[in-house]
Amino acid sequence: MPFDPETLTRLQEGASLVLGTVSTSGEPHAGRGWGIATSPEQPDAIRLLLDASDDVTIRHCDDGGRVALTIGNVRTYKSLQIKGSAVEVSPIGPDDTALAERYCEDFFRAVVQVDRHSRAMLESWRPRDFVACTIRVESMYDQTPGPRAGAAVAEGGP
Amino acid sequence: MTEPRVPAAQLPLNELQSAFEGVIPAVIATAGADGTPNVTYLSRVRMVDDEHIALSNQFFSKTSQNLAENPRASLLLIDPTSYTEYLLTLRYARTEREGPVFEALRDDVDAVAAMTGMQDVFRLRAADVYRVAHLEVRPPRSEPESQEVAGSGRPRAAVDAGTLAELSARLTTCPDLDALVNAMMTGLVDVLGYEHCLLLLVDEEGKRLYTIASHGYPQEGVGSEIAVGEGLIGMAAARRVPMRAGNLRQMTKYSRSIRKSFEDHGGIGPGRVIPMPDLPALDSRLAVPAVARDRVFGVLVVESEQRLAFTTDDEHALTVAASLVATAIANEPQRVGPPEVSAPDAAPVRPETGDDAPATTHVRFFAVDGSTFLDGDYLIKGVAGRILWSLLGQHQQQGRTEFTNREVRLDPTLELPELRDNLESRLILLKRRLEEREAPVRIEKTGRGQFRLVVSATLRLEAAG
Repeated sequence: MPFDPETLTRLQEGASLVLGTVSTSGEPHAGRGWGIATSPEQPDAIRLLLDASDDVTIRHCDDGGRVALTIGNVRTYKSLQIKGSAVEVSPIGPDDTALAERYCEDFFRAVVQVDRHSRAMLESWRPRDFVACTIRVESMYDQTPGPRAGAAVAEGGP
Repeated sequence: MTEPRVPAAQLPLNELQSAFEGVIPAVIATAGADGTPNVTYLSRVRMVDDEHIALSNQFFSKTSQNLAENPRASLLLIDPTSYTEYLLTLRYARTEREGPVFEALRDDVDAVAAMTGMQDVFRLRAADVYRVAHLEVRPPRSEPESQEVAGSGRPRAAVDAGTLAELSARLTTCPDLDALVNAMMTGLVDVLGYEHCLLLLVDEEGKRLYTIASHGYPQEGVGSEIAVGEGLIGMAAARRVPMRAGNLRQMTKYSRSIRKSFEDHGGIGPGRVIPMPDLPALDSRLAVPAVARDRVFGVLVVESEQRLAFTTDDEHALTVAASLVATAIANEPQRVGPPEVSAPDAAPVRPETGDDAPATTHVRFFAVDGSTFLDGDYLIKGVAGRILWSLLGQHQQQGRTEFTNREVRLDPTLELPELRDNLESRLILLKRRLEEREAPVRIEKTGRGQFRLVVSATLRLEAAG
C-alpha cells in the first residue's frame, strides 16, 4: 500500500487535488479531485473522487489511461505528485460521500483561512455529484515549486 | 443535475484577465510520448494576443520535456471573482527568451521573487507561448449564497480625464515642492480615492529610494529607504515601468515556498527579507515610476488590503500623477529664483539658561555618510543629514536662525551633486523627518526660498568618525 490511512489523511487535509489525464490519442486534460481514500482490497491503489460532470476526465479514466495526481498543501505549497494508471470508474457509496464532505470542509477551510476567499463562493464550486476512480500507484515525486520539483520520492512514501 | 459546459470559441481572451492574475494558481497538464501525464501549478499566465497566451517557465523540466515530445497541453484557470473555471486546450507555439512578451512575464516572475529577496535566484528562464485551440467555460456548480468575494472590496470610481484635471489643478496652485507633495498625497486620497499611498524619491546617487510622504499607515515612515531595483517598488524605478501585484498574500506564500526549497537544497543561505509595509493584510500594490526629462525622480505607490484592487486604469492615472510630481521636481531648481526678501541678519539666539532652561540634546554627526543621531536615535543621513549639520553649526556658532535655499545650495560642505541638485526635496525630507520624530529642532518656511531654524533645546554637537 503506498500510504497508510493516517498518512493519506495528513497529506490531503487542506490540500488541493489536481489531476492530469490523457486520451488514447495523447491529448492531456487538467481536472480536479475531491478526496482520496486508500483501497484495502488493492494495497497499491488509491480511490480518488471525481466531479461527475467532468466527462473528459472520466472518459480518460474509463479507458484505463495513465494518471498524474498532485496533492498540493494550500498553506505551504508543499506538493506530492502520484503517477499511475486508472483501474476502474465506479459509482460512489456512503463512505465516499462522507469523504467528499470531509475533504471539502478541510480544503475550503484552509483556503478561507490562508487566502481569504469567500466560503460562499467556494461552496458554489463544490461538485453536485461524484464518481470514484481507482488508481494503481506506480511512482511518486516531490512537486513542491523549486529546484527539486520532479525529483522521485523514495519508496515508503513522503 | 449539473451545469452545462459552455464551449466559448468566441470568448475573447481578455475576458479572462482576472483569471490570469494568479490569485488562484493555474494548473497545467501535459503528456509525454508514452502517454504519461504530468500536472503542475503555474505562477504566471499572460495574454499575448487574441489567440495566444504565454506561460512562465522556471522549473518546468518535466513539462518542457513533455512538450518537446507532444506539443499539447491543458490549462485550468479560475476567475477569483466569480469562481468560473476556464479549461483551455493549448498547442505549444514557441519559446521566447527576449522581447516584450518575455519581459512582461519576467516582470511578473521578478515581482514574485522580490517578495522574499530572491531576484538573483528565482528567474524566468523562458516564456512558452501557446495557441489557444479551444476554450471551455465552466460556470460555478451553483449560485453562491452571497456574491461577496472576500478581500475584494467596493471598487473605486473610475478615474477619468476630469478627475485627473482636478488633481492637476490642485498641483499647479502649489507654491513650492513641499506644498505639492502635500497636495499630491491629499489628491490621491480625496480625488482618486486611494486609501494608502507613498511617495518615494531617488537619492542623490540614484541608488536608493527614500520615503518623503505617506498617507494611511500607522507610521508615516518618512526617510525609510529601499534600494533601486529591490522589491516591487525598487523594480518600478529601475525598469521605468509600473509594477502591479493584486495578490501579494498568494505571491508571498508561493515565494516563501520556493525560497525554502532553495534553502533546503543548499541553493542559497538564509537572507534578508524585504519587510512588507505595515498594513495588517496587504494584498495589492501598484508602484509607478515618476519620470521627467528621461530621468526617474521617484516612485508613486498605492496599496490596498483588497485583492486585485488596481487595474491598468490605475496604472494610467498614477503614471500621469507621478509625471506631474517628477516634472515639478525637475523644474524646482529653475523655479526657486531669488528669495522674496533678503534674509535678515538675525540677532544671535541663545538657549535660555537657569532652572527653566530646555533640556540638552546630543547631536552626533558622521561625516562619512551624513548620518545624524539625536540623543543616540538615528534621524537621517546623506545630503539631508549634512544640511542639518551645517545649519546647526551656524546656529551654534553665529546664532543664526534665518536661512535661504540659495545659500544652502552653494554650501560646499554639503557635497551636492551637480547633476542631481534636488536640494528642495532634501529640505522637505529633513523638515518632515524632524516633525515626525518630534525633534527639538524644526524647519519652518518663511517665504519663497527662505526658512527658519527653530531650536527648542540646548544642543551639544559632536562630529564623529
